[in-house]
Amino acid sequence: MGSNRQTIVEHGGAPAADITSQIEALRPQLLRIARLQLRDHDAAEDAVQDAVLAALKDAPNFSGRSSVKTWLVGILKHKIIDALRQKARHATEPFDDETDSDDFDSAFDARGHWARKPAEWENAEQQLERKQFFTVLDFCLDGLPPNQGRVFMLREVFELGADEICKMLGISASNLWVLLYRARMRLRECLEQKWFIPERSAT
Amino acid sequence: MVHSGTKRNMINCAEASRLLSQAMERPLDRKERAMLRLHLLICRMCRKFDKQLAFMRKAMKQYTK
Repeated sequence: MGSNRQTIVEHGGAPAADITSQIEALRPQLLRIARLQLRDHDAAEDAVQDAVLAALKDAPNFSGRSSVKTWLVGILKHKIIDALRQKARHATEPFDDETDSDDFDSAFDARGHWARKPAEWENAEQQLERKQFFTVLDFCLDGLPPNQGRVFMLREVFELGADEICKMLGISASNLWVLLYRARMRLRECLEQKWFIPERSAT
Repeated sequence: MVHSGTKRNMINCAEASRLLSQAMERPLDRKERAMLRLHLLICRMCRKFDKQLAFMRKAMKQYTK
């Protein structure tokens, strides 16, 4: 970890080739995160572009205490928050676009019991070691309705507090809870179908 | 359905799952905690769901590591 810093210092403050190539390699992942949040390709490209530029400028100060990825995501987070704030300011429609009478409700029957019983997620922890799992996670995150995906990413990836998110997007706490709840229900369902019990999903 | 009205202290899975999700954003009040605890005691499905919520949070943390 400390070696990054050394390389940078040796190069007299200019971003070392090493860190530049690491930033370049992480670009697709940054773009994915930005797209999930902003749901707009151009806006996502802009945010990543800004973040990369800021990172290159800031590279000499990169301490190497966190991974390059964590550091980059931290920079991207601020760019995305700026973009979302601007968007909220110029929004002409209310944020809660999802009039959700859709399939999520069918998670429960009329008496409020699980319509499809949650399965046992076998060895869940071990899945986190598998690269493929994260491909499926990406797929499932992509499937979330825009606003659900957005608040879910802000909460779970950027780890913003509920208050902060509400203020930023101009939504009420209960509105946020509903969006997060729906996002989690959908994500749960998708992970279960696509990863944990793929053999049963066909039936 | 049996005990609808003022004496209602049993919640169903839909309500329990909503509370479990909200507990990730805010502290539940006493009554909510009591109702939830009672429900989890008798409902294996919601206990699974609770574990899955924790797992998803952990997976998302790892997403950027």
